[in-house]
Amino acid sequence: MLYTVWIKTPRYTVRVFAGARKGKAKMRKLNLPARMENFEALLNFILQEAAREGFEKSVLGKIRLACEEIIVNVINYAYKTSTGDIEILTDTGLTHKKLRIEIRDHGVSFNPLKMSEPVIDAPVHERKIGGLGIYLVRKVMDKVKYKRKGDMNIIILVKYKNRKPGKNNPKKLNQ
Amino acid sequence: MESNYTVILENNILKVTLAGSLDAVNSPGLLEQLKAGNREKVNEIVFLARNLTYLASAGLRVILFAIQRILQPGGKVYFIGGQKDVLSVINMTGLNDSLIIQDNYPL
Repeated sequence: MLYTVWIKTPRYTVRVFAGARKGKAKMRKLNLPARMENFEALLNFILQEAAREGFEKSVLGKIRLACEEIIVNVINYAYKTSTGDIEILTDTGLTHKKLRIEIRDHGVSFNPLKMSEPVIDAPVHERKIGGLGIYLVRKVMDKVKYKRKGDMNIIILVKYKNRKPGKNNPKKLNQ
Repeated sequence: MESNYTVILENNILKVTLAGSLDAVNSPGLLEQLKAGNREKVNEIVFLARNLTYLASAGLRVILFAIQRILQPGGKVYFIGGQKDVLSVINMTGLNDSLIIQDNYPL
């Protein structure tokens, strides 16, 4: 974090970036078998971190919405003929202005971001049941990304604090 | 994460009272309850949601199932007393177009 100092001269007032202070990133990890009995523990791990970081209640609800969808998908579909773990990593970054969440599994290769989006203005009797969850993930999180690393699926979700909608919002990355 | 729901069918009106969370944990149970029983003539579905604090995609699928599979053609679906965050989720997915969203019921 940089400090700013205002220096007044007879003609100008000058802003100077003075010094730098490195924040301390906070990273936490949880690894549990990908079973429904662990769903609440996995979700609460993320929400407790988000609450500690000061995200307000309605934003916590959005984080819960997104993470629930990803975690349930892993539990239900990642390990079709075997068992395996789900790993959650949370990272606040040096400035604690965001929460980065990684949800990892060693299950079948699957990129949920490639699912087709639901047609939300279709007549209700033509609406398909599937696809709503990932659609909501994209809507409520500031960044959503997928990576396949070796035999591991990695979903990355990022939520910024105090983000205002507008030109400075980075593009959502969907891979 | 606390949650509770009740389902009552009376005079062809299906009233579903929701409280707490409707999420991946308890939505399957509500879905089974909606599937069970005689639902032949449901002209109206009323979701009483004043005490519902959280709605996940699994809950949305239950609502959609009720509209698509239980409700008679031409029937109405009410969503009563929805809290701001819950209505936000409904609006994001466009389901608000299929619901009559009100503070109170009956009219």
